[in-house]
Amino acid sequence: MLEIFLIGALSAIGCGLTGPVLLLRRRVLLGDAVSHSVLAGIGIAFWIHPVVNSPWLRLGAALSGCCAAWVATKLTGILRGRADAALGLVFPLFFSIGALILAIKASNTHLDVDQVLSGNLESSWLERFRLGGTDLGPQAAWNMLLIVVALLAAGWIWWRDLQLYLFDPQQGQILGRPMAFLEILVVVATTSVIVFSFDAMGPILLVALLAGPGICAWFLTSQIGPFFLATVAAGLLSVLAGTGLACALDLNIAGSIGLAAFLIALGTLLMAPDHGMVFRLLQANRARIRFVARLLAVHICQHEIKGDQASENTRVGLRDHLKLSEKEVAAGALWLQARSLAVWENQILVSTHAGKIFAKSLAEGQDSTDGQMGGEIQRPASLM
Amino acid sequence: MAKEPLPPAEAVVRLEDVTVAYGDRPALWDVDLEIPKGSLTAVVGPNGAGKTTLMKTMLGLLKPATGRIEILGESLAHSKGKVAFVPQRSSVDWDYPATVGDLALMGTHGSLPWWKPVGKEEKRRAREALEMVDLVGLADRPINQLSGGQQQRAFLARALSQDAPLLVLDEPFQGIDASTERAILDLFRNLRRMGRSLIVVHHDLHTVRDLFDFSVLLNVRVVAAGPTESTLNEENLRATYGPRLGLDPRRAPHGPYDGARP
Ligand SMILES: Nc1ncnc2c1ncn2[C@@H]1O[C@H](COP(=O)(O)OP(=O)(O)OP(=O)(O)O)[C@@H](O)[C@H]1O
Ligand SMILES: [Mg+2]
Repeated sequence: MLEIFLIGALSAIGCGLTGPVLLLRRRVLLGDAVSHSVLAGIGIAFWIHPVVNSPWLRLGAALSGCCAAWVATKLTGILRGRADAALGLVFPLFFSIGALILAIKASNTHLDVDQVLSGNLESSWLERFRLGGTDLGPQAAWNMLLIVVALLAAGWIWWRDLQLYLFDPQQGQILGRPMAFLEILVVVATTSVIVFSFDAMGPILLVALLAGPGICAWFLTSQIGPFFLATVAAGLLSVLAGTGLACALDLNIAGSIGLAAFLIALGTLLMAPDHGMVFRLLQANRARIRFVARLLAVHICQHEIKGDQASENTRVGLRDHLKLSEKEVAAGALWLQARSLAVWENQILVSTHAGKIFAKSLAEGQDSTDGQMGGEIQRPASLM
Repeated sequence: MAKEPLPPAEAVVRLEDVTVAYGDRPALWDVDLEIPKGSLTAVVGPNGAGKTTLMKTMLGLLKPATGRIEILGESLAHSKGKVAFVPQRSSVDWDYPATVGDLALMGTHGSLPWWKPVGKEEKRRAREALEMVDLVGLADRPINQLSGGQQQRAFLARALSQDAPLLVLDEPFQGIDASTERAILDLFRNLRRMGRSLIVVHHDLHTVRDLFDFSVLLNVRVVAAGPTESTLNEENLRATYGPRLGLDPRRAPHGPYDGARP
């Protein structure tokens, strides 16, 4: 159990380090595409060396995954950024090459398409890593550990270049940074994570771990460093919750991790500070009062200048002319009173000196009191 | 409004016989051009004249079919990072998780080896750049919450924080309000005074005449290039834009530039 969790956790870290790259370049489904494209490499490797379970198959898989990702990346450039179209073209091609070869060459062995496509976390620990006869744990964990260490090292060395590459490669080129190299690096890094963790997890869970934690990060932060950290953390949490769930209810582990990733993403969507939906609902009410208060402040000042405040600036006048409810007028006036911007005098709302200055600054488009204009709620990223 | 005298003619950019083509259709024909160091240079010409193409070629983003390019006396390969650029249209994804401060800091990314973290010096440069474009107040704002003009100014800040001796700006005033435009034009003149060279693609011929000391008139070929007084005349403008355009102050959209902030 612990070993399965370890494999899952290392995969989650690997996915957490590459997921943001895919997410920010809008190609999360590269995970799915690459994991299907490996079939071409498996097919060709099997054709050349027809033994099931040979390391050649895995090498072929890795190579063809890289190849597919590279072709897709180049094609995306040619199609001016349409990554979905490029992937849609490349991945069926590679998949069908593999499927055809396997159908012809491997029809009489038990190597079939289904087997290649469904990873199995439960049995991933069966393959052991042995050194001089001692059992050092599951092979899959060592593979992922190696990849995670390599990713961390590369990320550390090319951290600033990676930011340029993700945001504005043209600027990176102008600064003389090796953007073409970074493109290769990103392709190799993402495909190696995909190929190796897909071995253990299968393509669906892989995509869930690439997308879900990254989406959590969208709602939690607007800086790139924390973005990566949040993704890794959410991925680890998904694996922890998923394996826990699977243990408790005796379920399929991959399935429960996928479910956990989805639930955690959903939870963040609802609960995240600033961008989360619950937060925004809570905010909406406060924002509405702030907005009404500002309306009132500007409105009463205008009529004080005109001189018809006796008829306009009463509760009824304000309610009818500004199309507000009585409660809203009361709440807005209270907001102004609390800040000494206006007072009720003989049933008329009268602005104070500070209130006049406040109204003037609002009319000039400056909003000095607590930052934001009411009603304007910060919009999260375009994912909404 | 007196203009400073031109510094001694040393070239910041030198192009010899440069032809740039998209496919087999040349956008720039046989360009010979020498832009003096320390000048505030305007590149003017009609839409499709090849101005953006010229800028991108100088930056090494486009490969010329023929010709030689030198930046500050060095070939393009050796002048990386010495030119800062504000593009005309940028296809970046504004949902990228970064704040305005992070964006300004990106200009300094070229000058640090990988093992050094961003230090005080880089932060100071980014902050100064934000001050110059009047965005310090928004330094912590995520970039996806900026208006179009603020985005443009954030890009300007990124170029400024690069601390490059040559700044290339492709129509930097698109979507920028009149008072900010004047503030930025003042900033350009200050930078020039501090010894930087600027090349600006700009469409308002009146500010070009009043503010820029060197002009390049471009329409696929270089029609004329030289000090603005002697270059920006009726004859050359007609040769660049066709017969219907003149430099008539009565039709000035903004009136002559008086150098003062409103
Ligand atoms: N990517 C491209 N592929 C093919 N042709 C192009 C491309 N970009 C520009 N061109 C062509 O090259 C010519 C010069 O374009 P360029 O963008 O340099 O013009 P410009 O002077 O910057 O115009 P504007 O004032 O509209 O910005 C135009 O005729 C244009 O059609
Ligand atoms: Mg242009």
